[in-house]
Amino acid sequence: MDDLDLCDVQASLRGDGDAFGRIVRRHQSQLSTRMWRFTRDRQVLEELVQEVFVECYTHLASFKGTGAFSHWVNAIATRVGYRFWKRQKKAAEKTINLEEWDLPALARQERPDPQLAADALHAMLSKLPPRDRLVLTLMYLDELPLAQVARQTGWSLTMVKVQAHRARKKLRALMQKHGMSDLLETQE
Amino acid sequence: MSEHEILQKLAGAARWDMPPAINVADEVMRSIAGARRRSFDPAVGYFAAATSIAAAIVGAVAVELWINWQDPLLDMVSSMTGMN
Repeated sequence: MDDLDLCDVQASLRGDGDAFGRIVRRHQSQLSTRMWRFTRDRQVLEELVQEVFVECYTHLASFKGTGAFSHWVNAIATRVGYRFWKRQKKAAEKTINLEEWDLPALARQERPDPQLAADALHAMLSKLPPRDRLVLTLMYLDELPLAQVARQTGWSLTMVKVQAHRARKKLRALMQKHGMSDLLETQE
Repeated sequence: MSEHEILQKLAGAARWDMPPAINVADEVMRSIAGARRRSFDPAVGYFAAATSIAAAIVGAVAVELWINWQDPLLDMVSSMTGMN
Protein backbone atom coordinates (compact mmCIF):
# COMPACT_ATOMS: atom_id res chain seq x y z
CA MET A 1 0.00 0.00 0.00
CA ASP A 2 2.93 2.34 0.74
CA ASP A 3 4.18 2.06 -2.85
CA LEU A 4 0.69 2.78 -4.15
CA ASP A 5 0.41 5.77 -1.83
CA LEU A 6 3.77 7.16 -2.87
CA CYS A 7 2.90 6.75 -6.57
CA ASP A 8 -0.44 8.50 -6.09
CA VAL A 9 1.11 11.30 -4.01
CA GLN A 10 3.65 11.94 -6.76
CA ALA A 11 0.97 11.71 -9.45
CA SER A 12 -1.23 14.13 -7.54
CA LEU A 13 1.64 16.59 -7.18
CA ARG A 14 2.20 16.34 -10.94
CA GLY A 15 -1.44 17.38 -11.43
CA ASP A 16 -3.21 14.01 -11.84
CA GLY A 17 -6.73 14.91 -10.69
CA ASP A 18 -7.76 11.30 -9.91
CA ALA A 19 -4.72 10.33 -7.88
CA PHE A 20 -5.79 12.00 -4.65
CA GLY A 21 -9.28 10.46 -5.01
CA ARG A 22 -7.65 7.03 -5.01
CA ILE A 23 -5.77 7.95 -1.81
CA VAL A 24 -9.01 9.07 -0.16
CA ARG A 25 -10.85 5.88 -1.11
CA ARG A 26 -7.96 3.74 0.17
CA HIS A 27 -7.63 5.48 3.56
CA GLN A 28 -11.09 6.77 4.45
CA SER A 29 -12.18 3.66 6.34
CA GLN A 30 -9.07 3.56 8.55
CA LEU A 31 -9.25 7.30 9.03
CA SER A 32 -12.91 7.25 10.03
CA THR A 33 -12.09 4.65 12.71
CA ARG A 34 -9.46 7.03 14.02
CA MET A 35 -11.68 10.12 13.92
CA TRP A 36 -14.46 8.18 15.67
CA ARG A 37 -12.34 8.69 18.81
CA PHE A 38 -12.90 12.43 18.46
CA THR A 39 -16.66 12.50 18.00
CA ARG A 40 -19.74 10.31 18.40
CA ASP A 41 -21.71 12.15 15.75
CA ARG A 42 -21.82 10.75 12.22
CA GLN A 43 -22.12 14.13 10.52
CA VAL A 44 -19.23 15.57 12.51
CA LEU A 45 -17.24 12.42 11.72
CA GLU A 46 -17.71 13.00 7.98
CA GLU A 47 -16.68 16.65 8.35
CA LEU A 48 -13.58 15.75 10.33
CA VAL A 49 -12.50 13.06 7.86
CA GLN A 50 -12.96 15.54 5.01
CA GLU A 51 -10.99 18.17 6.89
CA VAL A 52 -8.12 15.75 7.39
CA PHE A 53 -7.99 14.85 3.70
CA VAL A 54 -8.16 18.47 2.58
CA GLU A 55 -5.33 19.29 4.97
CA CYS A 56 -3.36 16.32 3.63
CA TYR A 57 -3.88 17.61 0.10
CA THR A 58 -2.72 21.12 0.90
CA HIS A 59 0.44 19.77 2.60
CA LEU A 60 1.04 16.92 0.18
CA ALA A 61 4.37 18.31 -0.98
CA SER A 62 5.71 17.94 2.58
CA PHE A 63 5.24 14.13 2.47
CA LYS A 64 8.70 12.83 1.67
CA GLY A 65 7.87 9.14 1.60
CA THR A 66 10.43 8.22 4.26
CA GLY A 67 7.73 6.77 6.55
CA ALA A 68 4.34 5.16 5.96
CA PHE A 69 1.74 7.44 4.41
CA SER A 70 -0.81 6.29 7.01
CA HIS A 71 1.45 7.55 9.83
CA TRP A 72 1.68 10.91 8.12
CA VAL A 73 -2.11 11.03 7.70
CA ASN A 74 -2.61 10.01 11.33
CA ALA A 75 -0.41 12.85 12.56
CA ILE A 76 -2.56 15.30 10.60
CA ALA A 77 -5.70 13.57 11.89
CA THR A 78 -4.47 14.04 15.46
CA ARG A 79 -3.99 17.77 14.88
CA VAL A 80 -7.41 18.13 13.25
CA GLY A 81 -9.11 16.19 16.07
CA TYR A 82 -7.31 18.20 18.73
CA ARG A 83 -8.30 21.47 17.07
CA PHE A 84 -11.91 20.25 16.96
CA TRP A 85 -11.87 19.44 20.68
CA LYS A 86 -10.46 22.85 21.47
CA ARG A 87 -13.22 24.50 19.43
CA GLN A 88 -16.04 22.58 21.07
CA LYS A 89 -14.68 22.38 24.62
CA LYS A 90 -17.18 24.79 26.14
CA ALA A 91 -20.14 23.26 24.31
CA ALA A 92 -19.14 19.78 25.51
CA GLU A 93 -18.91 20.96 29.12
CA LYS A 94 -22.49 22.17 28.97
CA THR A 95 -24.16 19.45 26.90
CA ILE A 96 -22.50 16.21 28.03
CA ASN A 97 -23.91 14.91 31.26
CA LEU A 98 -21.98 12.14 33.00
CA GLU A 99 -24.98 11.18 35.12
CA GLU A 100 -26.49 9.54 32.03
CA TRP A 101 -24.04 6.65 32.40
CA ASP A 102 -23.78 4.27 35.29
CA LEU A 103 -20.01 4.41 35.17
CA PRO A 104 -19.30 2.22 38.24
CA ALA A 105 -21.56 -0.55 36.91
CA LEU A 106 -19.99 -0.31 33.48
CA ALA A 107 -16.47 -0.52 34.87
CA ARG A 108 -17.42 -3.56 37.00
CA GLN A 109 -18.74 -5.53 34.02
CA GLU A 110 -16.58 -8.34 32.73
CA ARG A 111 -17.18 -7.36 29.09
CA PRO A 112 -18.80 -3.96 28.76
CA ASP A 113 -20.88 -3.30 25.64
CA PRO A 114 -18.52 -1.64 23.08
CA GLN A 115 -20.87 1.17 22.13
CA LEU A 116 -21.81 1.93 25.74
CA ALA A 117 -18.16 1.84 26.79
CA ALA A 118 -17.19 4.14 23.90
CA ASP A 119 -20.00 6.59 24.69
CA ALA A 120 -19.16 6.62 28.41
CA LEU A 121 -15.45 6.99 27.81
CA HIS A 122 -16.07 9.77 25.31
CA ALA A 123 -18.29 11.58 27.82
CA MET A 124 -15.83 11.12 30.66
CA LEU A 125 -12.80 12.29 28.68
CA SER A 126 -14.73 15.26 27.30
CA LYS A 127 -14.68 16.70 30.82
CA LEU A 128 -10.89 16.94 30.69
CA PRO A 129 -8.90 19.70 28.99
CA PRO A 130 -8.15 18.83 25.33
CA ARG A 131 -4.46 18.09 25.96
CA ASP A 132 -5.27 15.56 28.70
CA ARG A 133 -7.99 14.08 26.59
CA LEU A 134 -5.67 13.72 23.63
CA VAL A 135 -2.89 11.96 25.46
CA LEU A 136 -5.28 9.47 27.10
CA THR A 137 -7.10 8.82 23.82
CA LEU A 138 -3.88 8.10 21.96
CA MET A 139 -2.52 5.92 24.75
CA TYR A 140 -5.61 3.94 25.67
CA LEU A 141 -7.99 3.96 22.70
CA ASP A 142 -5.38 3.93 19.95
CA GLU A 143 -2.94 1.91 22.08
CA LEU A 144 0.01 3.90 20.78
CA PRO A 145 3.36 3.53 22.51
CA LEU A 146 4.69 6.69 24.16
CA ALA A 147 7.23 7.35 21.40
CA GLN A 148 4.49 7.31 18.79
CA VAL A 149 2.26 9.57 20.91
CA ALA A 150 5.20 11.98 21.00
CA ARG A 151 5.56 11.83 17.21
CA GLN A 152 1.84 12.33 16.61
CA THR A 153 1.52 15.27 18.99
CA GLY A 154 4.89 16.86 18.37
CA TRP A 155 5.58 16.79 22.12
CA SER A 156 8.76 15.47 23.71
CA LEU A 157 8.71 12.03 25.33
CA THR A 158 9.06 13.59 28.79
CA MET A 159 6.21 15.94 28.03
CA VAL A 160 3.99 13.00 27.01
CA LYS A 161 4.78 11.18 30.27
CA VAL A 162 4.08 14.28 32.38
CA GLN A 163 0.87 15.03 30.47
CA ALA A 164 -0.33 11.44 30.84
CA HIS A 165 0.39 11.46 34.58
CA ARG A 166 -1.50 14.72 35.08
CA ALA A 167 -4.38 13.56 32.89
CA ARG A 168 -4.82 10.33 34.87
CA LYS A 169 -4.75 12.30 38.11
CA LYS A 170 -7.51 14.60 36.86
CA LEU A 171 -9.48 11.63 35.60
CA ARG A 172 -9.22 9.97 39.00
CA ALA A 173 -10.62 13.10 40.64
CA LEU A 174 -13.41 13.14 38.08
CA MET A 175 -14.23 9.48 38.71
CA GLN A 176 -14.39 10.12 42.45
CA LYS A 177 -16.71 13.03 41.86
CA HIS A 178 -19.04 10.84 39.81
CA GLY A 179 -19.65 7.98 42.17
CA MET A 180 -16.68 5.78 41.39
CA SER A 181 -14.93 6.30 44.72
CA ASP A 182 -15.96 2.85 45.96
CA LEU A 183 -14.61 1.22 42.86
CA LEU A 184 -11.34 3.13 43.05
CA GLU A 185 -10.80 2.58 46.76
CA THR A 186 -12.16 -0.86 47.57
CA GLN A 187 -10.45 -2.72 44.79
CA GLU A 188 -7.09 -1.00 45.10
CA MET B 1 -8.98 -0.92 40.65
CA SER B 2 -6.93 2.10 39.55
CA GLU B 3 -8.03 4.73 37.04
CA HIS B 4 -5.48 3.15 34.70
CA GLU B 5 -7.26 -0.21 34.89
CA ILE B 6 -10.70 1.37 34.47
CA LEU B 7 -9.42 3.24 31.42
CA GLN B 8 -7.90 0.07 30.01
CA LYS B 9 -11.12 -1.85 30.49
CA LEU B 10 -13.42 0.77 28.94
CA ALA B 11 -10.99 1.54 26.12
CA GLY B 12 -10.56 -2.18 25.42
CA ALA B 13 -14.30 -2.51 24.92
CA ALA B 14 -14.68 0.84 23.13
CA ARG B 15 -12.10 -0.17 20.53
CA TRP B 16 -14.64 -2.66 19.15
CA ASP B 17 -17.18 0.08 18.56
CA MET B 18 -16.87 0.64 14.83
CA PRO B 19 -17.74 3.96 13.16
CA PRO B 20 -20.63 4.21 10.69
CA ALA B 21 -19.56 3.52 7.10
CA ILE B 22 -18.87 6.75 5.29
CA ASN B 23 -17.79 7.72 1.80
CA VAL B 24 -16.37 11.19 1.57
CA ALA B 25 -14.32 10.83 -1.62
CA ASP B 26 -16.62 13.00 -3.77
CA GLU B 27 -16.98 15.64 -1.05
CA VAL B 28 -13.22 15.81 -0.54
CA MET B 29 -12.58 16.21 -4.27
CA ARG B 30 -15.21 18.97 -4.42
CA SER B 31 -13.61 20.77 -1.44
CA ILE B 32 -10.19 20.51 -3.08
CA ALA B 33 -11.55 21.90 -6.36
CA GLY B 34 -13.15 24.75 -4.36
CA ALA B 35 -9.88 25.42 -2.54
CA ARG B 36 -8.04 25.54 -5.89
CA ARG B 37 -10.55 28.07 -7.20
CA ARG B 38 -10.27 30.14 -4.03
CA SER B 39 -6.49 30.28 -4.43
CA PHE B 40 -7.11 32.47 -7.52
CA ASP B 41 -9.53 34.67 -5.59
CA PRO B 42 -7.03 37.26 -4.27
CA ALA B 43 -6.05 38.27 -7.83
CA VAL B 44 -9.70 38.37 -8.88
CA GLY B 45 -10.54 40.30 -5.70
CA TYR B 46 -7.85 42.94 -6.30
CA PHE B 47 -8.99 43.38 -9.91
CA ALA B 48 -12.63 43.72 -8.82
CA ALA B 49 -11.72 46.26 -6.12
CA ALA B 50 -9.63 48.32 -8.55
CA THR B 51 -12.45 48.25 -11.12
CA SER B 52 -15.00 49.32 -8.49
CA ILE B 53 -12.83 52.24 -7.35
CA ALA B 54 -12.24 53.37 -10.95
CA ALA B 55 -15.97 53.13 -11.69
CA ALA B 56 -16.77 55.14 -8.55
CA ILE B 57 -14.32 57.89 -9.57
CA VAL B 58 -15.71 58.06 -13.12
CA GLY B 59 -19.26 58.14 -11.68
CA ALA B 60 -18.41 60.96 -9.24
CA VAL B 61 -16.78 63.04 -11.98
CA ALA B 62 -19.77 62.46 -14.26
CA VAL B 63 -22.23 63.52 -11.56
CA GLU B 64 -20.16 66.62 -10.79
CA LEU B 65 -20.06 67.60 -14.46
CA TRP B 66 -23.81 67.03 -14.78
CA ILE B 67 -24.55 69.20 -11.72
CA ASN B 68 -22.25 71.99 -12.92
CA TRP B 69 -23.78 71.88 -16.37
CA GLN B 70 -27.26 72.26 -14.92
CA ASP B 71 -26.38 74.88 -12.29
CA PRO B 72 -28.45 78.03 -13.13
CA LEU B 73 -25.97 80.33 -11.38
CA LEU B 74 -23.21 79.08 -13.62
CA ASP B 75 -25.52 79.55 -16.62
CA MET B 76 -26.18 83.15 -15.52
CA VAL B 77 -22.51 83.89 -14.93
CA SER B 78 -21.59 82.46 -18.26
CA SER B 79 -24.33 84.49 -20.02
CA MET B 80 -23.19 87.70 -18.24
CA THR B 81 -19.62 87.17 -19.14
CA GLY B 82 -20.59 86.19 -22.61
CA MET B 83 -18.74 82.93 -22.25
CA ASN B 84 -21.64 80.84 -23.35
